[in-house]
Amino acid sequence: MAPEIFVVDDDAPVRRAVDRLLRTAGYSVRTFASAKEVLDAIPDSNPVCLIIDVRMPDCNGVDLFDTLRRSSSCAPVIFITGHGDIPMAVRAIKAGAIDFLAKPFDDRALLDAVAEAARKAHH
Amino acid sequence: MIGARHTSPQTTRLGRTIPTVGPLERGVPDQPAAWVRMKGLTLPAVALMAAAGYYVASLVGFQLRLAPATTSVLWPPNATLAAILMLTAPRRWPVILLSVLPVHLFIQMHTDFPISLIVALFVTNCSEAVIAAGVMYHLRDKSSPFDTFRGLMGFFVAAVILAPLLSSFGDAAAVMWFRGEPYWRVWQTRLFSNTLAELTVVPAVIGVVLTVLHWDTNRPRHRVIEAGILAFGVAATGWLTLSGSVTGIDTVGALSTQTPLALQLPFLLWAAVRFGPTGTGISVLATSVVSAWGVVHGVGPFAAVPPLTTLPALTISLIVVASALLCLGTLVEERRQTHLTLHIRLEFERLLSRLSAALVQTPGAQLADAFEPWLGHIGRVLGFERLTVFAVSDRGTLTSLYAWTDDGAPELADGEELEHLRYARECLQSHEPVLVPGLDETVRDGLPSASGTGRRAAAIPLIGDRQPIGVLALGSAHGPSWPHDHLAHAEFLGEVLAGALRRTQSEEALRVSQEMKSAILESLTSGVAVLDRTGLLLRINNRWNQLARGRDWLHAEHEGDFLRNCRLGFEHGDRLASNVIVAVSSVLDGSRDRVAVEYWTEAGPTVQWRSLAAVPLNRAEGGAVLTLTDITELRRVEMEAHRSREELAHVSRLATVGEMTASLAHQLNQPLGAILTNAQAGVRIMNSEPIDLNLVREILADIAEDDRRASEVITRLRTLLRKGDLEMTQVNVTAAIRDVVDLVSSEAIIRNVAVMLDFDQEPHFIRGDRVQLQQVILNLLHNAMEALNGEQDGPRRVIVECRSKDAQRIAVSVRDTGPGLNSGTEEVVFEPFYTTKRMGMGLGLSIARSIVEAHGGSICADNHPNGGAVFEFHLPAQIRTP
Repeated sequence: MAPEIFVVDDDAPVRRAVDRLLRTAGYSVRTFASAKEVLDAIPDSNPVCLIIDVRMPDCNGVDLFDTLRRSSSCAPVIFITGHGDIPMAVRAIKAGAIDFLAKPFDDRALLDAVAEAARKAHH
Repeated sequence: MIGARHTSPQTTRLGRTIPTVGPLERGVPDQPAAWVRMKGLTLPAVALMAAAGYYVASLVGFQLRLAPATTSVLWPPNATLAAILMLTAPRRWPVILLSVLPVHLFIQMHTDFPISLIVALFVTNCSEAVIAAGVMYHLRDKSSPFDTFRGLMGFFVAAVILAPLLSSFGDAAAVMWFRGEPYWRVWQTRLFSNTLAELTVVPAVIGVVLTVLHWDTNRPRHRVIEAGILAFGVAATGWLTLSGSVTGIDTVGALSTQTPLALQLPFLLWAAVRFGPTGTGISVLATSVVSAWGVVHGVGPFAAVPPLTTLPALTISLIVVASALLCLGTLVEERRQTHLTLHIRLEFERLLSRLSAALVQTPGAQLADAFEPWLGHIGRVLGFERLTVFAVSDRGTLTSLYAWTDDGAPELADGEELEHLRYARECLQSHEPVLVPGLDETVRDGLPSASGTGRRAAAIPLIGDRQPIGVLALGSAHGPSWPHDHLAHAEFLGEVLAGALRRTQSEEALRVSQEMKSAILESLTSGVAVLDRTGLLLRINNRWNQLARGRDWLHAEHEGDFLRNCRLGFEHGDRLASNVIVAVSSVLDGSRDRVAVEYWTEAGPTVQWRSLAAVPLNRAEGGAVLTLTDITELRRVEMEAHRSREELAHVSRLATVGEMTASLAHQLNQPLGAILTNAQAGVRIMNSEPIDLNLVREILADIAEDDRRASEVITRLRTLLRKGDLEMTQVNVTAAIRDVVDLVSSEAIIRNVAVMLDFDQEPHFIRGDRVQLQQVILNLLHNAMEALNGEQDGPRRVIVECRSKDAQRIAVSVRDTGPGLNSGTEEVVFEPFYTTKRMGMGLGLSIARSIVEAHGGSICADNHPNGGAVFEFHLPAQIRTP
């Protein structure tokens, strides 16, 4: 069974694009439009990696990451953002994120980060 | 009618309610009647004259005594003394009586009368004179007793009846006591003799004294000759009667014997008719003396008749004749005086009439030149040498306007001019004419002194609109008594002159006003044209035609037809002329209070802007005032200001967008990221087998959609940042707000702010510039989100409402849930350079307000009752057009 990756982004076109890209790499993908949706799904699933948009209307991506950690989810997290700045990236990496990618990002960067996350998840 | 009222010893005012002719107030120190003036005579001179007169009269009286009787048949001293007393003030009478005493004693000592009788006769003689003069004093009138019939009646009562009657009782008693003569015979003889004496001597003495004192060197020669012939006739008839020459002629002898005074009567009538009471008195006195002398001395027609039989009849005849002649003479004199008065009044009325006509007909510009000659006419008619018209200033000061001085007038003495000015001021205060009969005269005990040069002055107020506007001052160094009849008409004279002066002043004021109006009109930088209600030009200044260059039909001339010229301009294809006609006509017909038409005209390489404004002419007849103003500079400044405002708005938009860089990047990166990811996914799919073409199609469709999404962001940005001219179009306010909200959506996400829209279902439209309107909304949204920066716990919401306020207005409000405005800053926030941001310029809200106001709207700020600030602006709604 292909490793499952959760994509959380309020922007539907972005969600669909990331979903397609990851599927071409052989991953199983579930997309979520909001933090609430993913928090609801996490207890019953075991994704190898979460790709989270930093800026969402109902929640900050970094805050979602903290929430996940507090809910004992240890799945690696990759942050993507429409407009990132250095303090936010530092904060994300410190919190334990695998990577911090600014849109538009190269497919290789995302897939490498996901592969890295998958490795970490297996270990 | 105006009468004389004397309010001070030297000043006489003409009151409005006192009749012209009538008794003067008793007990009031009075200017004496003209007939009692004895100018130039001192008291000793008068006393000497009295003594001399008494002496001469006594000599005559003794010649007419029918010895051994004590009483003369005609005794003139008492009447002489009475006449002199009548001519002097009562306070001088004791001196005069005392001066007569030595003469009386001297004369009487030559008789065989005892001294006691002599003294008693002095007392009775004086009592007669005092009774006659005293009663006359109390009956005194302004005129001589022989000038009016009323005065003559007073004389008859006082001097002819009372004085001889009363004094004769004492006289007869004394004579009876000392001489043993029959009481009643003495009483009768003295009564008749003294009555006759009073009747003849008093008018004669008074007439002679006044004639001598007021001797007129210009008296007509024929009057003197006539008087001489009359005197000769009286003397001749007397001589003929006494000499007996006529007795040889039967008819004449019989006439003189049987009809006494028949020969003298023509001369007596002549004297009465031609020379009045004075002539009557002298001629009757002469006749009486001659007749009495003839009887006493047994000469003449009555020589054969016993004197005691003749005398009473002769005396009574003389009394009757004298009384009748005096009445006749007085009536003739009164008629003559009346005629003279009427003549003078007529002359004055003629003067007034000519003056009125002349001053009315004289053109205003020539009135000033006409005034002075007419002052000369007035002066000559009234007998004044100096006339001055003073004008009263607003502060009440007097300014000499016109003056006339007779060529022969003496120089004014020091202080005289000031005195005249004082009377003018006095007249100004009382609003009544003031007359000063003689500046040098003093009045003591109610009668004038015997000195005085006759200087006189008068001041007549010139009343206009119930307020004195000037004073006519008159002065003379000499002259006759006051011409009361003239001055009684001073009010009329004042009215005529006041009318002319008022006209002069009105025309001068009008001229000054016209000059001032013209000067103001010509000083204006705008062209001004005044139209009547039909569009004819009433006034125009030069500036109008200067500014009208380039539009020939706007060139105007006085009394030209402005609207007709405009119509000609329209017929020649100038549409501006049509607009001007409509605008001006709407003001002329009262349908509009103010209209303005702006237009430009080419002036060489440049363009000149003009504004033609019209307002109603504020007068009952209607009309309009047009102003033509050069607004080129104003337009240039406006354009500069507009350009600056545009620049500033643009800079402000740039600044706002600059502050939104992060959100805009986010907003662009979202579609760009999706595009790239989709494209890379597509490449991967194309490299795999089998190719899932459906998936590729989906990818391509998403790429196209994301591209459009990115493009829209860029378009919105480009539109907002565009630097262009104001473009007034119909704007869907609702859609414009949505666009801006979309633009800031990323920023809202970044700031974790929920932007909520609360719109009416139907879209709202305004007429305006879409970009500027969006700038206002963007600014308000941006501020609202920034206001939520510090809010960590509470709701972070921005609510945008767009609703129809009423049929004419649309209200757009942006409300946040932040801390709200500081109290008292609701107005200040719109001031330029007011900011609460650390790096803010403080121009955003100021520009927002200027944009809203430029769209005919208004904007305000307040705190919402539920917290947070709310900014609301209203704009005029526009009905949507397809």
